[in-house]
Amino acid sequence: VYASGPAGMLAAIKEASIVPAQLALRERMACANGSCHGCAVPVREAGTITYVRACVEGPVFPAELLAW
Amino acid sequence: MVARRTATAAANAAAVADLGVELCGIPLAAPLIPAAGTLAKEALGEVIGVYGAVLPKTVTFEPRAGNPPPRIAESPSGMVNSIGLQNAGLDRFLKDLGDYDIGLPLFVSISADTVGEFAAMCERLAGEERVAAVELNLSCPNVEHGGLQFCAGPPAVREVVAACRGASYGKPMFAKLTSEGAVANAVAAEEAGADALTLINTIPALVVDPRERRVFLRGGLSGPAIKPIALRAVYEVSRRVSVPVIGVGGVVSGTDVAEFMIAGGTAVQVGAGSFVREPRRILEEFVVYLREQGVSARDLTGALTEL
Repeated sequence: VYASGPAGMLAAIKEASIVPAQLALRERMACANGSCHGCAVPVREAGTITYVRACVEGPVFPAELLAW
Repeated sequence: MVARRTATAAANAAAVADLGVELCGIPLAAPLIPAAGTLAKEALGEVIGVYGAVLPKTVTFEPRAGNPPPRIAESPSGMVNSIGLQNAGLDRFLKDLGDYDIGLPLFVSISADTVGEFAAMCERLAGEERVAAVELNLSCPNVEHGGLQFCAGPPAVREVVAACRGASYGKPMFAKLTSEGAVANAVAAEEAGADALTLINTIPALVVDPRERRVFLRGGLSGPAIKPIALRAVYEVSRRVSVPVIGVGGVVSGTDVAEFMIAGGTAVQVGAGSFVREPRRILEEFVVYLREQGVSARDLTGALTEL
């Protein structure tokens, strides 16, 4: 599944997916080049939650990585 | 065609405008520096030949995850941010220090929870030759003093700056202050050994969601909205201290850069402005201003005609 749309819709897709889903996030951005860290989204890697920058490290993320 | 003409004009302009300034003995090819937290490694390529120094995002001793979103909000003529000092910590920063090498002096902004931690970071950085200067981000809360900000008043400023001075072994140290109580804090910082003062940090601000009737964001205001406040701080402080002042707050154009220098600044930082205008354009405009005025950049510092 490839999804792009409002946050609520993406959350529902993430919740419902039984096949891998890639979600294109639309985050508020100020610099859009990785500098300000304003567009950070929570991801879960190796059990810990960190914030990654949607502008340069996304904006498409595998659904299972996101930690909303 | 237009782009090529503009690039040539800029190159010619740079060649005939004298942009060099000296800050605490450090020669800068241009009096323009990124404000802490506004230039990532990924964006360094865009600023070669533009900034006079590199200043990465504030580093803390331990890694910090930063605040949960939302971290930013737009505001008339500016923006509010509450990023939460997200960074990988001092160890990781020093390991990757070479990533910031584009042939420019490297200034490192630091923040800490306690005076001891501030001093410990200064001591680590003092031994690092590739770091030209340290900027103390004093807007953060001192957890040993009930969360009172390090820049909350002259005694707090004096304590942290003195401790850092003692741990810096002569490495140039800038104290970054807020507009609130700027003059008194600046005098205290200078007395305690700061080599320069960076004015101002963001201004405490709030964004309210009128439909959800809740606080959307509590953070700091940046951008053109704060320029008059920042200019006043630079002006009043530079008249009271002997150390150089680095002006910052709402710079988006070449004439803004000139204004901060005229008001007393030796160098100028660009923060949120770089999100809406390329720093290269800001520098080009500054060069045009210098040529029109027939002055060099260093002539501008404090060149205010008193009424």
